[in-house]
Amino acid sequence: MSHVYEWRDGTVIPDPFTGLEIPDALHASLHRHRENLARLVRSLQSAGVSEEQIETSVTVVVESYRDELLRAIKTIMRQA
Amino acid sequence: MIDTRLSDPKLNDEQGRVLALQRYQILDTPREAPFDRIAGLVKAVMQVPIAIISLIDSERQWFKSCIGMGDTTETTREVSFCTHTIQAREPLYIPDARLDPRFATNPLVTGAPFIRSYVGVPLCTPDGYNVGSLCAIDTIPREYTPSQIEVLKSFAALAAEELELRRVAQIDFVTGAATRRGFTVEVDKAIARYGRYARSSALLVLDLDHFKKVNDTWGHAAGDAVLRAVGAKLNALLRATDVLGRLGGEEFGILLAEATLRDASRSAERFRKAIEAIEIENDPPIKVTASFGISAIGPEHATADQWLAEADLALYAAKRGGRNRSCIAPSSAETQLSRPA
Repeated sequence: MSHVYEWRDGTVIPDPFTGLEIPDALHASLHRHRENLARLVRSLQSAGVSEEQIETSVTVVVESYRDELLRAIKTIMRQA
Repeated sequence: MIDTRLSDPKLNDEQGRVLALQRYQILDTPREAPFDRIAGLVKAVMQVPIAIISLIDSERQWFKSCIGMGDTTETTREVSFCTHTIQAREPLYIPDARLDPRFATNPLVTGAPFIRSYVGVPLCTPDGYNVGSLCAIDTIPREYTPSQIEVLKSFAALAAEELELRRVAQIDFVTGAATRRGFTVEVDKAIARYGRYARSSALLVLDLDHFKKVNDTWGHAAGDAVLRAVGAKLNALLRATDVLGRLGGEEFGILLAEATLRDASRSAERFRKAIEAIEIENDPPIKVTASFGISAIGPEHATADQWLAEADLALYAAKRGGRNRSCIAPSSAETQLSRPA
């Protein structure tokens, strides 16, 4: 498993989660979120929702989940 | 129509459903942006005047987010559409409530907010309990396409995941117990229940004896193995209504619902013996013991911190008394003694 991230410009940064044990429940949540997001985009497209509204919906949902995810990760880091 | 409740036992398990909802510790919390944002998106995408994230408690529906219905925060379950939604796995779709015998005379249909059409999707936990609903409501009759209902299902899955992610953040991942913060919230709720309904409960605080020695001798991995084993053992012995919390290091709290001092003393003894019987694979096997402080709830406990401090005093007495034993907090003992026979 790689422990570095490489930006498009070639800059290499260490994986900030190296050494952090991610609980199974968080892995499962991340997996479900990814699936839910893909399902949302498919359903919005099928319902004929405008591209602009799809972009807004995805942005809002991703930002909300990100805030919650950061809170969860901070809690886990305090426990580690 | 096939009644899915017959083949889906969790749809009939009301007690389990309410406990699943309680795990989220979300009822009566303030409005929060992530949920309002999802309800706002539902309102915009479905083009409805009202969008609600409703959680179904035992006697009421409570709104985590309610867009378009003023400051309403809850209703009784009798008038709740979402109470019907959580009885199935599939969405509940009512094109015209006035034509539906279940809702035609509902006060929310005949009076404000004059609901005419409703579509609600259950909010389902990963273990299969419908704890609430995400719904789109209109004041005119509406026909929704299957694609539109699919959109609502997608938003419902995302709202349910927001709830679940919060729960993950409240769990100590080594022991599976609630974090100190999550546990304190539960203790505060028990104090409120006592103040309002005089519902008894008891608090145990336990500390693993000489745990530092385990870490110093066998390393932190062995220490974590001990904590994991203790967490698993205690979780297995607790009732669904009890709460286990990791208060820090090797100290745990156990909140026993509907328990008297006598119940709590018996439970502490059972837990003490169970911990004493744990053997962690090692050469030689690692064994641990625990000391317990016990405190039954009383009028003197106004906050979680006060109650925990009192149970802690009893814990220190158990430690001073030689460890691997339990002690009752002085005020609990006095209360017990002063009760008429």
